[in-house]
Amino acid sequence: MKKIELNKIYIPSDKVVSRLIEDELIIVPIESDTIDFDHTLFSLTKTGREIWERLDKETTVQQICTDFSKKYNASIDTISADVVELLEDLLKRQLILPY
Amino acid sequence: MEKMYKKYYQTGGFIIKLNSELPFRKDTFNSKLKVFEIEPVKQEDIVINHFFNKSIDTNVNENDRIYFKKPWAVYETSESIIYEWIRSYEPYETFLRKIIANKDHTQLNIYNDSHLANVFKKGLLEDITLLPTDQFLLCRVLGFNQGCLFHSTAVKYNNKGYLFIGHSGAGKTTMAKIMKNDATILCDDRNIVRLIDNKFHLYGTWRHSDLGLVSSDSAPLKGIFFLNQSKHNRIELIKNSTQRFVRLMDHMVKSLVTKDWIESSIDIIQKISDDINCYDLQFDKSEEIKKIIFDL
Repeated sequence: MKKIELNKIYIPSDKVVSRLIEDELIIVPIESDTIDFDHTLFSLTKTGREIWERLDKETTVQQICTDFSKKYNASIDTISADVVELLEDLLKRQLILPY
Repeated sequence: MEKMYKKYYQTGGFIIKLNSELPFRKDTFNSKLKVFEIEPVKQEDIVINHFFNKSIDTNVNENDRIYFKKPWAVYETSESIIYEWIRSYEPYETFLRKIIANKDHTQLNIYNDSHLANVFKKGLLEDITLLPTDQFLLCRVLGFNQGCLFHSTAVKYNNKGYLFIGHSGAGKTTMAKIMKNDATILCDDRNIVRLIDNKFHLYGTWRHSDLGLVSSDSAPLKGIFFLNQSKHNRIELIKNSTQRFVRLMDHMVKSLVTKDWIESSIDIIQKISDDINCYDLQFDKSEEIKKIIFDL
């Protein structure tokens, strides 16, 4: 499995569409390489959504973790473990890509 | 354009004009399609032109290819979507047919080869595009025109539309059998939901199950029911909006998925989810379920 590297930048794939439904962010993959695809939707609630919204072309994973550590007054190790776990799941599903 | 023979159909609030270089016979299409045929009108929404034995060079560029899985190669240009039915072995040159469509598939030129000309002449066709299913057309048109197609059974009762959604084995055909004596079955396999004049309407299609129940009738959409066969009858309003959205998305029929199409389709799914009551329905295959549904 591909590992998330803290000093790298990851961005949402251009093959997904996201939509906010009440307080959940639903990520819909566009799988144009399959015509009858049995697609899977991915849902992110509060913190996951906040992480997704920080995925831009300028912010490293390390920076996201540092900012969240301050915001939630939690240790950087705890925050990093949670952020990396989520990003690895998103990477595995090809919903995000290294920039 | 050379002389074209014409037929008109309607579903989903669309009028479809079907032109063909070859003449139509009484039995060119099967009896289910006949249900949706209408008299000629001056203004149509969708035009399909069938050409036979006419070669066309589409000048497609590999960089424009958005899909490639035998037997289809699909290309997207600034103006068109081009489908090429290709060989299943190298060289993958065009075989059987090419389709040149505008982006929302309201204009289709279908170039069929001599084999398909013979299929057309043989008759009893189930689909107006001569493809294995017309849903590639309907999905695309609906996605860009405030609608979507669902794996479902739909019925009209007391001028209200009821949509029963489920994948294969969920009970769509069973529900149609239960309902058929009291309600009009719009279709027992694929149905259209479309927003017209700010109201959702329900329409059947000619894509039916083995039961073969279809109607060209339509009705304002009253409720959506996600089917589960059970030992008891139970109905529960789905209050969670994410759950409604996800389940509707899961049962929407998808064909060629492009970013603009999926964004447009998501908009309409979200509006259906917001405006129409959705229920989780467990039913025991008995007639009792009818009263529970129609008393809502």
